[in-house]
Amino acid sequence: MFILFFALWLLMAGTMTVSTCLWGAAVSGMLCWYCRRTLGYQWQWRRYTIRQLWSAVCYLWNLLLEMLKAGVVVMKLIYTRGRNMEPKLIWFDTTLQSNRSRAVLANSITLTAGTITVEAQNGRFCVHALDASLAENIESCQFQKQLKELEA
Amino acid sequence: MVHNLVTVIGLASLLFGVFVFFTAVLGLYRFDYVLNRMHAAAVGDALGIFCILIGLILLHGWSLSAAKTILIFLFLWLTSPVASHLIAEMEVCTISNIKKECEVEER
Repeated sequence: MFILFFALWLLMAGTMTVSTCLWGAAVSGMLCWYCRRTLGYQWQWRRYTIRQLWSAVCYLWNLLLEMLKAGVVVMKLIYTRGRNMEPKLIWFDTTLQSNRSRAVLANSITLTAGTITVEAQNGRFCVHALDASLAENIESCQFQKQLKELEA
Repeated sequence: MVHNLVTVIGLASLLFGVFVFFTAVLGLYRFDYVLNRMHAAAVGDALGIFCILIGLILLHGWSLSAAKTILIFLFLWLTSPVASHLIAEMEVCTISNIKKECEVEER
């Protein structure tokens, strides 16, 4: 966490002098202490295999493509359909086990225009879709399959 | 030659981003329910911001500003879904009859 704060400080400062580094180290240390003590954050090292890291990169790439594709689809709907939409609220269960994967799935669904995660509790998701066509097979979407691979 | 090409792509990306934001604002007027309007706003958040920031990176070239622009992507795309989720959850929890606004399906 300290390294992340320090890297962020250097990036925002834009220079690499002794003074910047000392101030950066002091501020990062204080922020780190505050996050651990008051907000209860904990930084845990986890070992990832190269396959998992590659899967994560593929997931992010797929997410970016889906976000852009969904944006274009919703733009088309705005011009062609207007108020003649068939919005849908769908409840479904996810097969993902860890809270981290579920949170990532919920965020990915919301980031993709046309679908918003309304609720995600105990593996039960509630998603609002702008049109019924955008909600087809949402419970077995590509994101979920890739996250399942990452969990394994 | 390459510099000119990058400038043209950057400008095109920037203009397309402005068009996306125009569409998002239009969508806010064309849709009639808050959850539908949020989808229109999400287009600006995802595609609009992406096109405009990529356009700026291409026009400005790879520099410290470009790295800071990538940071904007990161913060925006991490925080925007959380805010959207909270607004949507509040709307669904407080509306008296959600079935009047949209079809509800259990799978």
